Amino acid sequence: MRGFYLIGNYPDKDSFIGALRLIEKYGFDFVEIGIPFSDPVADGPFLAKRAQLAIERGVTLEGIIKTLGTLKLSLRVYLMTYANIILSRNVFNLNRTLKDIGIEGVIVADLPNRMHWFLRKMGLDVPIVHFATPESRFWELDELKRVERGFIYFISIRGITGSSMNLDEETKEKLNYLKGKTKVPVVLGFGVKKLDDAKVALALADGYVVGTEAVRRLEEGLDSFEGLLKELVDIENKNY
Amino acid sequence: MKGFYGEFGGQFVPETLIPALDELEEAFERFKKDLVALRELDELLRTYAGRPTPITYCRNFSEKYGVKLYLKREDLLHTGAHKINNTLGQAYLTKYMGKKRVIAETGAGQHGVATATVSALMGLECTIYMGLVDAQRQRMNVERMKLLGAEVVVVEEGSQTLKDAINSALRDWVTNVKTTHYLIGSVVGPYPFPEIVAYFQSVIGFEARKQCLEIGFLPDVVVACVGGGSNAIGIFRGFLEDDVVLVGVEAGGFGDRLGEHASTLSFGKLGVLHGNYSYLLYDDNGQVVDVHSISAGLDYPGVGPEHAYLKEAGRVIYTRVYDDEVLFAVRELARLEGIIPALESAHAISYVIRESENLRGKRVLVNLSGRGDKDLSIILGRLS
Ligand SMILES: Cc1ncc(COP(=O)(O)O)c(C=O)c1O
Repeated sequence: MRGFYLIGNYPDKDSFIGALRLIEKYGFDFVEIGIPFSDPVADGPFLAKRAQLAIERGVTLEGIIKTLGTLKLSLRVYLMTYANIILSRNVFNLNRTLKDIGIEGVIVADLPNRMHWFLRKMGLDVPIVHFATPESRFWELDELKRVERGFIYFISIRGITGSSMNLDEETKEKLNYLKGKTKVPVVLGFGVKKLDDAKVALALADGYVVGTEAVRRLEEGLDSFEGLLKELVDIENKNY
Repeated sequence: MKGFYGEFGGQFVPETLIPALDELEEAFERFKKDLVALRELDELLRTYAGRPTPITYCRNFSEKYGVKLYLKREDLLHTGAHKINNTLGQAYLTKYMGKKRVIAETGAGQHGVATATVSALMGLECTIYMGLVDAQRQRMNVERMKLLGAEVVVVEEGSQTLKDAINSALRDWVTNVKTTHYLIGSVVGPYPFPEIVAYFQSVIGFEARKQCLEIGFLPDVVVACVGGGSNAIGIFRGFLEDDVVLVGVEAGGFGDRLGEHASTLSFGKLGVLHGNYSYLLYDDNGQVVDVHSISAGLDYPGVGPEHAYLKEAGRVIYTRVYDDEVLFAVRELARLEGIIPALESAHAISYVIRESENLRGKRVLVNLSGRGDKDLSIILGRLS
């Protein structure tokens, strides 16, 4: 389970689509498509600034859905956003649309596991991704064995996106414990930027997601972005 | 449901914060049953903060407007506003949990000053987040916080006001959750914060009720301004079971269009910001909008979930007054009673002036949540 986080239709629609095609071409597994929110409290300065830019450029949930609807992707596509972006829509209709375009699930940064029922009650029945963190208690990790689909998003650090990966012993122990419990892959996110991080993630977990670094490289251009994909894929030596 | 007021509230935060919220809830429950701790806090409120605050009958105002106006004088508390009731309580909880650092957001600077103050008193490390716009318009409070030994971080993101200060504080908290308590300043944020802040502020209402009864009446109407809603919840909680009309007054700014006001309960839709589901001002795309108020403490697009509940339940009437009316109210109270209110609190006074015909002969109790020293430059600038 190796994937990337991109902000939908950002830096512009064509680069966004180009990036998706490259991720597909190099054989990665999934993408998380960020729907920007005005108050992204889980994001560091880099992605928070980009969310603001994207909003100023007119990026919306509906626009992103439209783009995705026109593409036939072999990638698994998750939407990543904040609760208000979903709640501000007619959730029943949104749910139907997400199913129609084949969205695999949603990742809601300010919706902890114990609050999933809230969006469910409002009519969202696409999978909602569960989180684990360095702060998770063992009984909470135990509960995650009930997750049947998708993956578990292990937030590698206490902190926000854009920080550096730094797994302490306690966190490694929790990661290992969780892997022994769950039926679904455990994917490491937050702070995975370079090859070394990816290697650690593949050794300790079942995959990773590159966020801040992916958005940064795509801003530099599709060439730079492709460079990132190559760096990651070559050493893993799996698909090429 | 636990964590909710009717359908409002909840814990809409990154997963990383959930254990800290549980820890806080446990500490709070323990604290409420700890008679020794309760007595110590009571002592601090009395000998340090200056409780009980008096109730002042405003003779001149009442003669002019035909309304019997009583003020609950939270402006007389140490640091100049009701905020210290909550900061003393939460600083105590911080110690209780064995944490050594607190962070807080501030709009008007009153909560920041109150947090810096109790941090100095209790030997806690303290960082305050404040939007750039607010740091400029409430400069005196920035200097006070620094003098008290707090680090002040000026936030230049977004609208550079209270909302953005809370975003930054939440990011700090996610990063430093092991060592740090987020000392939230109003009845907002994820559960248990709305309940904790309401609990510590409810001293205003219970005290006021007792004092009124000692004078020999219960008010017909109780009025308070609403930013996040802590001074309002604080006084309302004393009168919820009584046959008393409760009125919350939000910032009407300079107009009724989105962006011109901070009247969340008049114009907001249901949504999630900063950890709770409540009324919220956002656009068609779900983005929270910039709001406006002459008073930094009310300049916030959200409102505490208990207020959303009290509105839906029909127990509290929520309304708004405009910036100009607020300035007029400041001058009236200053000239008639010799009391300069904070711009926030002047919203409540302004409501009484506007509704004086309908309130004729009634006993009206206003929560005078703070004093106006911090607002002098804004007031003078606008009145000249
Ligand atoms: C004097 C005063 N009153 C009221 C408020 C608004 O907050 P709340 O609605 O939580 O009472 C503030 C906030 O800064 C304040 O300083």
